[in-house]
Amino acid sequence: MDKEFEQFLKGIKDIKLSQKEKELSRTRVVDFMKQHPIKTIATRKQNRARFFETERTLFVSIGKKHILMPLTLIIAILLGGSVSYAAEGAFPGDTLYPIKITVNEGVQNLLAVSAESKAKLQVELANERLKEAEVLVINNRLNAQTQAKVEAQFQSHAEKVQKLVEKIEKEEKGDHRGARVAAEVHANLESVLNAHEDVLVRIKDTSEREDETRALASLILNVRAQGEIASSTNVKFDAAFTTQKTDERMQKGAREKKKSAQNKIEEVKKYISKMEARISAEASAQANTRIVSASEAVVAGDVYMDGKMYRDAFNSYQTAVKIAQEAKLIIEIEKDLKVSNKNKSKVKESEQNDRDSNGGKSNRDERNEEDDDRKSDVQIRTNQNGTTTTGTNLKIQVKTGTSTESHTDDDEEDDDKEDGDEVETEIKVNVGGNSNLNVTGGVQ
Amino acid sequence: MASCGISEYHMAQQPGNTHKKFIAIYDELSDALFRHCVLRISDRERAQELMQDTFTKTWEYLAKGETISNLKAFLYRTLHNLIIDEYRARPRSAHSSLEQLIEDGYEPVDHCGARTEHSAEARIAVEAIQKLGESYRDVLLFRYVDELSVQEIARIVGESENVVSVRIHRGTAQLRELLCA
Repeated sequence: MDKEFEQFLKGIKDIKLSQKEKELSRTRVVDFMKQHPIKTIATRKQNRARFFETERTLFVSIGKKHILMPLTLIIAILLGGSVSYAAEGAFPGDTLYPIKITVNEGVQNLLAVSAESKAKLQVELANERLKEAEVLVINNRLNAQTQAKVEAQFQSHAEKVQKLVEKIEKEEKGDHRGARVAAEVHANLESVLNAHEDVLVRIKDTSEREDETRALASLILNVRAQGEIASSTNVKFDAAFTTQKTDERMQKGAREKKKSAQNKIEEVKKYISKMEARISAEASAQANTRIVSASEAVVAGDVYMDGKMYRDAFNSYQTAVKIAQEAKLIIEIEKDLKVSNKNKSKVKESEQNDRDSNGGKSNRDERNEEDDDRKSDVQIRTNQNGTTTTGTNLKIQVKTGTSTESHTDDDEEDDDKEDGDEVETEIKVNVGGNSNLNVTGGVQ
Repeated sequence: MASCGISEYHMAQQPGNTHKKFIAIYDELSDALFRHCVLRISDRERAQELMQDTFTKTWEYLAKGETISNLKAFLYRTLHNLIIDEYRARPRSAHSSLEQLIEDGYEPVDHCGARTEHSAEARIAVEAIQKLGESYRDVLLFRYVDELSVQEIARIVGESENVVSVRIHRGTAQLRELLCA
């Protein structure tokens, strides 16, 4: 190897992260690893079961909700990854929800370095919040309280996007990159807002409960307001583009935008036809209308191009991308809602079965047996005691918090359960003799 | 190929162990992956992010209980794919031709070297790398800077070993010319 080449390699190896950057990156990766622990097949199954059941019943026994906020942090530290994994599926009103938005999403935020990725993440999170609101409606859990939570979070994400966009706009990476990226992020946010606005309005129209309708109306207003802010600031970006000196460059930019618009439309078309069977006719109609208008926007852009109005052409193509993205989002939202709907009906079904077999009295205990976690818990305890103290009665008390899930029966006892703050269920296990499992239900 | 300490990587049985080894690999390869990335996308911040993503994505894969037989090659392949996604996501700005960049008053060294002191050698090297054709540049980086075998490079870029060998040969010749000029 000759001298120049060796010098070349030496020069290349001089390029590296500064000590500080390196440490920062390392912390981020290690945090991520803690958050995503290695799973055996068994824990994966448990976690899936936790998604709907355990997270709400297991932790509520701690009792008063307001001590949970600082507690969540301690729990997160103690239990590490598996909790934050379970928290991923939490919704406003769930015990693990604070972990989801502080710990999990905090880590995501740490992983984003540039203002651009931070802004994109915030758009993603705003999208996530609105999706949560929609899932809550489907599960009949949207009320003034959960709506306030979602809305506050959503608004904070949308505001962060605005701030970050301003920052990006100022960052000049040559070639007006800042303005272009800012416009792109804004367009993303607009697509998210518009798509959700449509879905929320559709849900509101079918809503039967009054508090739910009111909550939805408030949310829709907020989404609309944020959408207006986003589209009004877009005017500023148009102004930024006019400062681009040469027509030639603007023309090039417009041509590229056209290409990405066409690609996007193609992609979304394929996506729609793939998902068609799984979504409602309304959603697919909404998406298809948007594809038509996106294609029209491309045609309009072509007209501007012919007239050498490159800035307008660029804007038209950008609009096309935005509308196509909206179409895609509508389908995605619909798909997610259907999935959670299905899960919910499964849960209901199993609850129904429990009631049928127990006359509605001790379905909670029965369900405990179905739950893998708690079943094994009980078994271990009986075994341990079985070796040391044979012939004694072991009492296991399972406290469950206020529940609004399953008691829809008309008889009084169930009404008591709903009203009372705590339900105490006693399971007596006779370890000696035939090791009968003696299950009794009681109400305090 | 330079061994990176682990050639076999399937230890889902001992999560703690995997954790430690993965961090060791991070300490060993993070600089190299960052360097590779910054030379290809000329954006320091993004390069740092893509390097992080490479590790987090690979970890996610391992955490699912999958096994990886050659972790170093796997990491490079992940990075390569992320870089390609990056190209697609922004067709012009990040990897514009050098002429375009200079036209905009953009100095490649500034971006790669910003905030850190760089030797004269580094500047010359970066300039030479920027002038190479894209397909040559990638394989040369893989071969000489990252010290991967021809076979590994072939799998990463999805070409046959023959094609990769020819590219390395021609790229080396081109690089020599650039360096001597």
